[in-house]
Amino acid sequence: MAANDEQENEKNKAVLGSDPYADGPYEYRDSQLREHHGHIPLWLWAVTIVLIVWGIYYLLTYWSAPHPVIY
Amino acid sequence: MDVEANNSLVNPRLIKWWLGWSLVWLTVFPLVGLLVSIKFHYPEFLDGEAWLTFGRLRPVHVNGVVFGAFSTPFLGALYYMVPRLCGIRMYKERWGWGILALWNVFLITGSISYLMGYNSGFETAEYEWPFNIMRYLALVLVTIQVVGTMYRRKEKKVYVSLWYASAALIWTLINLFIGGVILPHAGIFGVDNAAMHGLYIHYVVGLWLTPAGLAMVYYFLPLGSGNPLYSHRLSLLGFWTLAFCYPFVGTHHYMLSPIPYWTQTIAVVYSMLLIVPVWAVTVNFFGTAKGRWSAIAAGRDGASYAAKFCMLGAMFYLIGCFQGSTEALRRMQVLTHFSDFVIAHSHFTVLGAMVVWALASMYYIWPKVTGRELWSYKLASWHFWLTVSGITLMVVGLMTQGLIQDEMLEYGANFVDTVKEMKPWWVTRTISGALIDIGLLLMVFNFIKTAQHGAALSKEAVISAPSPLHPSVRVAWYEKPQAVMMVAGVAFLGLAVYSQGISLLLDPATHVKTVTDASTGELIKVASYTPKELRGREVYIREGCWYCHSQYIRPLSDEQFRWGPQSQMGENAYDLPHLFGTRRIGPDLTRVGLKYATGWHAAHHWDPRNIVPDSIMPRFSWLFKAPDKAGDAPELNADGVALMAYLQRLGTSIGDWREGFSSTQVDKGMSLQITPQNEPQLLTLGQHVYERRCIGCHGVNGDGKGPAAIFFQTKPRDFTSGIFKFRSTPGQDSLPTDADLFKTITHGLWGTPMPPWYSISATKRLAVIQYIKTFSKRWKQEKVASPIEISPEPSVTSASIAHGKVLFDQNCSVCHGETGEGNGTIANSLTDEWGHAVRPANFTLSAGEQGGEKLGHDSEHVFQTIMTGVGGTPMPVFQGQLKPDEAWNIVHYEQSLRIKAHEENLIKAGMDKTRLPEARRRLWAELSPAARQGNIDSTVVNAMSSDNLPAVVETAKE
Repeated sequence: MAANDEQENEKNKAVLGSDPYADGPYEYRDSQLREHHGHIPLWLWAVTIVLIVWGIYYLLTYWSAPHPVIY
Repeated sequence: MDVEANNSLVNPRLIKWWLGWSLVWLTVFPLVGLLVSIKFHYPEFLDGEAWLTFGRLRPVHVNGVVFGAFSTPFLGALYYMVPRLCGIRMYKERWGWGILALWNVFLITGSISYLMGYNSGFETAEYEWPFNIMRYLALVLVTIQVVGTMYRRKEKKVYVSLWYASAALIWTLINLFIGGVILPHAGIFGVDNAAMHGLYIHYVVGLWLTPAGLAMVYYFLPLGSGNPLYSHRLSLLGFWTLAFCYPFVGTHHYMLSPIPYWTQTIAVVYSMLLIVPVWAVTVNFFGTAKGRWSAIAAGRDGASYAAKFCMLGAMFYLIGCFQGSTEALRRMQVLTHFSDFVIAHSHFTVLGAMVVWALASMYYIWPKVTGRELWSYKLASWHFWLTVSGITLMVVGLMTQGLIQDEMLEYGANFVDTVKEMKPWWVTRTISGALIDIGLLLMVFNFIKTAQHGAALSKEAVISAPSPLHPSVRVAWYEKPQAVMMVAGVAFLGLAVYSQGISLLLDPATHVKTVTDASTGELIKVASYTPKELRGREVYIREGCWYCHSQYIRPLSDEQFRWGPQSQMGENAYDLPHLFGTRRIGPDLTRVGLKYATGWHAAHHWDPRNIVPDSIMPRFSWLFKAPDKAGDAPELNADGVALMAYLQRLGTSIGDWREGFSSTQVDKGMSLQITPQNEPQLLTLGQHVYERRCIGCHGVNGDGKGPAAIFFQTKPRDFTSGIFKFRSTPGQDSLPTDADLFKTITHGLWGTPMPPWYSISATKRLAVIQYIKTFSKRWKQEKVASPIEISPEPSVTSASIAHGKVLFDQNCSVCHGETGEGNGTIANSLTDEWGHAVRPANFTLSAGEQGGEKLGHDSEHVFQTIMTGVGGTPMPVFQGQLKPDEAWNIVHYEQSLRIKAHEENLIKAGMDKTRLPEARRRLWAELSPAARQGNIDSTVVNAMSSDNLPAVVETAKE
């Protein structure tokens, strides 16, 4: 588990350049929950951008109903 | 071990009681779903009892799962999570007991109220106000506790579970106000009502179940797996994109409906954007489990089972939500909506993700609050694998059958045939539901045994030593409770409610009370409901008819050829609640008005399978009273009469659309060359068709004495006599051609219990004709004559109409009356071949009205009927007595009576009188091929009215 945490911290540093939780994962005192600051994968950013671009296209194209609207 | 002492921040006894009641609701409400499921493939199951119909049980199951089986463990889990995340005991902790009592009273009394028939008519908001108040009060108190605890917290940083939990409560308090107050009481009608309701439905799913479920996974997965949460940043992305996207998607429940197109487009875009938060949280969950899969799989304690159920739910969430996003796309809607594909989605997400996550939290908490290890990890494993297999089987089956049904419908299948096709799949669903329920029962048993006999937990397992605080940690504004509650909870939601709901209220175009008349294209007003129709509507809502029958026809060719013209916005102007519906277990009822005679509806409600053997509709015997005479049909009581009035009203606001309905416009019909080779095959198929479609009315022996016949004023035809009403062949009671019978079967006979059968294939219609002919010896003994010659229809002129009236007065008025209203001097004394009283046709009535024309007002049919008579009735043959031109004149006069009555209805409905000539031209074109080709005198179009007709008639007489 510790090895995993370390790997994760290293990965964060590599991606972000710095890790706000330099000492390791943040630990919530009474719940014993711990969390990495972590990162957002680049591919998820790509998915987000693609969906936003598609959304704008779709909004513009289908704002009004084409006539006749029969499938 | 002293559990109370070691759970210093929480009240284990209170949580145990919450979870104990959760076990009750996890047993009861899914079990109701199982009972409901059995009814789909075995409709006689618990049939005939008002309290146990599908329409009454369905809201018990759905609301019970949402607010009982899921919400009770979630609220219980809050009493465990919130104090630990805040480092302080729950604010006003003692309230928890009262809230639990209130919550259970709400669930119990609310469920009983559904069984009694109290139903607001808004899906997922069906509770009446007393139960809404109880639920609301309970959630307000919980919100005060959670927010109060958060603001008094000792832990500076606010963990993601608290974002979701607090936002879920704020969102839901706003949403329940929408569902319980705005929707039913704010005077919002029709399309506006539907748009707002779409938002409400999805807020229950997206802004209650989802954030509450995610709050639990974010808490129990890291603890159960023993790993830190994978990424705080992903938590932020997931939460804020969910908060921004979910509020806008609700309209996707009513895609391709009359709700404004642009609103639907926004819903589609945001539905697809939901992929971002869903993928963000699932990446976070899988990242958290990374490196611990083996440990999770091998673990035998409650925490390990919590992690297993968390990850199982995450997988279902990932797949189910992707399914939901893509389902919003318009073309996907066509392929998937209204069928069990939607039910697959709801079970994927609500059951497969949310309820499974609630189970995860219970597996984690129960040992902690009882101070005991799980009694049996084997039972827990059985529960896990029964859940995996049950839900997988259920959703794969439902998705497959949904696609099959929607594909069948898209390609024109008869609706009842698609229902029949679903039955084996519904058996699969019952089996899968049983697997899930057995798993839940094992869990209940295991938990009871755990509390009684589980091995004591070690002190460390109950509560670990606190770790040091991080005094220097910086908390960004978007992680603070006020941002979560005000920006995500209020601002984003408010923006969505405005753009998707309130903006429609401000747009006068969405609450018009006019529609385009189907026959003329002119603008007419929609009439409000009569008191009887309104009462019928209440019965319709009470009995839950709207759970199975939608009320909007989409711009799809298969729907418009099956049910009639596309729905218009103004048609719903007086609908509160709207009854668009989200499911078609039975056919859409938008245009059912005047399709069947009221007697047919009565017989159908008394015992649906008497008329439609494959029907799964419940029997509604409580809508009837005992007959006056033994042996007579049961009579509809006041509720039943009102319901019939409402059904007959449906879809008629757009005028007399049925006269020109393409699917019934068969001109010459179809016939087959029967050979010794194809006859046996046709008879076999015909018999099958007869037994599925005709036997309920016409009887096993074809004598017109089927079990439903006692309900009908117009008795079903006795096929053993070989006498048929409408024929193209000459002579009284001559045998008809196959084409004649094909036309009658396809078109149906308006105002009688004989419905149109255009929705079964032409081959089947031809086959059943061959089978019907086996009932009478006439078909073997006599030869079918050739059809009479129909001379070309002459132009429609004032003179032809006037001549027609003269001839009508001489030949027809004694039965049909001088005004053609079926009220001639001998009208009351007429009987048919079998001694049943019959009434001459009233030519002024619109399509489908009882007593009017049965096979349409089109020129050739009326000409033919005059010339060949109506078989088995006093309507004689006029061939030989009238010349063709004279018959045509009568045809035109008869049509003018209908058109005049139609015009009066349009004027009454507010049509602009200056548009009358154009409207009249279109009405004539609808009935007369000659007029359609332009062979109509301008005087007919411009001046045909009761004012000048007498003068024309006098001229004609001279």
